[in-house]
Amino acid sequence: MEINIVDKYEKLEKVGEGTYGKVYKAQDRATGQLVALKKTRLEMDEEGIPPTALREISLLNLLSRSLYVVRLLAVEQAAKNGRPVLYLVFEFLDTDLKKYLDAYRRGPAARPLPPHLVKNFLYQLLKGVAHCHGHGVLHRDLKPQNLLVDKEKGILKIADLGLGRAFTVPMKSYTHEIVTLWYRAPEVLLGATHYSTGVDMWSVGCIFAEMVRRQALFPGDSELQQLLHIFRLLGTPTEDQWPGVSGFKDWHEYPQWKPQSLARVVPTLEPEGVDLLSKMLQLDPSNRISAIAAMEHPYFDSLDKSQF
Amino acid sequence: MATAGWDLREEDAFEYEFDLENPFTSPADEPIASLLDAEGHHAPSVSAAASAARRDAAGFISKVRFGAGLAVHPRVAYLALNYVDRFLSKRELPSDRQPWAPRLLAISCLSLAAKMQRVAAFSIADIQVGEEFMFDAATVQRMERVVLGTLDWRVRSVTPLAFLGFFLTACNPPHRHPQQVAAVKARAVDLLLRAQPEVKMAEFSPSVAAAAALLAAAGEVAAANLPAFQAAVAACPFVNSEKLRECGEVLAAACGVGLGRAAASVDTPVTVLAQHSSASSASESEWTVGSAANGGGGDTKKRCMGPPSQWG
Repeated sequence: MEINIVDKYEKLEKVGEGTYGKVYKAQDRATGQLVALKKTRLEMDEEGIPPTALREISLLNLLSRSLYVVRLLAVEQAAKNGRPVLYLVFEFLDTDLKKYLDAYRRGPAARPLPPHLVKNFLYQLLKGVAHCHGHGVLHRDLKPQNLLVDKEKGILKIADLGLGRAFTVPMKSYTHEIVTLWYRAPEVLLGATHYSTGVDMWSVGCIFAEMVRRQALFPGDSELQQLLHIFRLLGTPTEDQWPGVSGFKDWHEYPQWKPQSLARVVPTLEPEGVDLLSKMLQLDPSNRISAIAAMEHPYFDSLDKSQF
Repeated sequence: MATAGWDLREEDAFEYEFDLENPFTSPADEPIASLLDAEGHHAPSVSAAASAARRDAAGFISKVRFGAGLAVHPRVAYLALNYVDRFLSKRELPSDRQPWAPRLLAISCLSLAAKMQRVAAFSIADIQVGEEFMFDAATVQRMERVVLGTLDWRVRSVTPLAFLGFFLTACNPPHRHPQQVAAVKARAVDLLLRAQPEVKMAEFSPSVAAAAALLAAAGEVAAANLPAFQAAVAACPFVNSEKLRECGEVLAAACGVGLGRAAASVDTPVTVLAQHSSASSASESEWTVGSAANGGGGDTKKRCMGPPSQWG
């Protein structure tokens, strides 16, 4: 059962420093298929495969049946220096939404994304998020870099699902890389220890706005800056608007901003889209729209949902 | 910085635990279609169920399940035997040349099944007390990895238990008879756990087995509402009524639930019972005997287990 990983896959290049550790683009030597190879930090202890790893990987396996979640192709059990090491083998896609948006933002072909494409991608994203939430799993780190795009088929897939401890995105990067804060929900920035599906819906809202604007909605470079960006646009929350907000661990006194018009930051977005965005960007997570409800929003009335 | 990626905080210890009755963790959002789609990948093959290796592995699991002081949780035993069945459906074990192989498979599946669920761990040494020789932890772990590879890590099994919630919701408007529903469900789980070792159960899809168990249980503990259960199950297009009837018979025989009735009535399918008893292997007979004592009074049983023709 145990293989030497290089016998089966040819490592082509390091494509990232993922939450699991290093990620390689690799090629299955037998089939020629391109894969993303992620070495886990799993160490077998005296109990064999740890229960959490077993539960998480099997859940990841289950979640990846959705077309809108990157597919887990295999779990390879390799031996390294006599110790068992687990590799997760995912389908490989060479474009992510960040690179995809860059092509529209810069260079000779810079232009807005066609509105129907924004709608189509957002719907796929919601479908993937609803699938994860339906299985009791939060992503916790949705961002354009984590959304892979199949350009030929026009499919958007959620990658880098963070499950439990083994895969969770640390607040401070494991590898000292800069962890982007741009898509992080206010309750997380304020130090909430218990959070729910709303953290992902906030990120979806930020990504939605970014697809329309071709630039990030809240490009903060520190936790405080990030919160200030958010409050400047949406207004500084009060206890009336968000009961309990001043009780968060990292709550401070902030300038008292009034909410601005959301339409002004996404001027090209149709009114139904602005309405949906405003429901995703509710400061109080309990007011935020769910993925399932968002899929039913009138913004998508003009979309042919039967294609998904 | 953090190096031991698998160090656990206390509250993480049971994250993403596996629930046999709710394999997808969130039933409300997961339509029945997903379960039906999955059951095809999770059902054992008939030939695997009939193999000698399966008989030996099931015998070992049943021994540690019922053995005094061994304390392997019933649901661990249930999930473990499901893994055994699915493993053997994918590859054969040369149990004639390696008579120890089924036991190693059983132990590894028990270990995996315990890790998936919120149950107390058991000792690999304890459950092997009295065996000719003992497998050490390293061997069991190696076999665990073989099992995981063979099952493609699809260890969130879709078993009959996963369908009970769906059928019960279909049968009963929510919150109408919560206690009765809970009692029916508990009895159905009990029947399915008991019937699992029966070789013939492999002939039925998990959804059909769940429907049959539910009707048998409803007949026992909610006899007055049995017609409602029957109507609800009959309304499910994916439940084949002929298979449902057959499964009800196998279930009744395997669990011995028809026994009380056999004494009281002439139209009991005694022959069916007799056939299954004689077909059962030594290890399975323990189950039949063990379960005969369970259940309500004679009257209840009479109504509930009544002629299988009523069930379809």
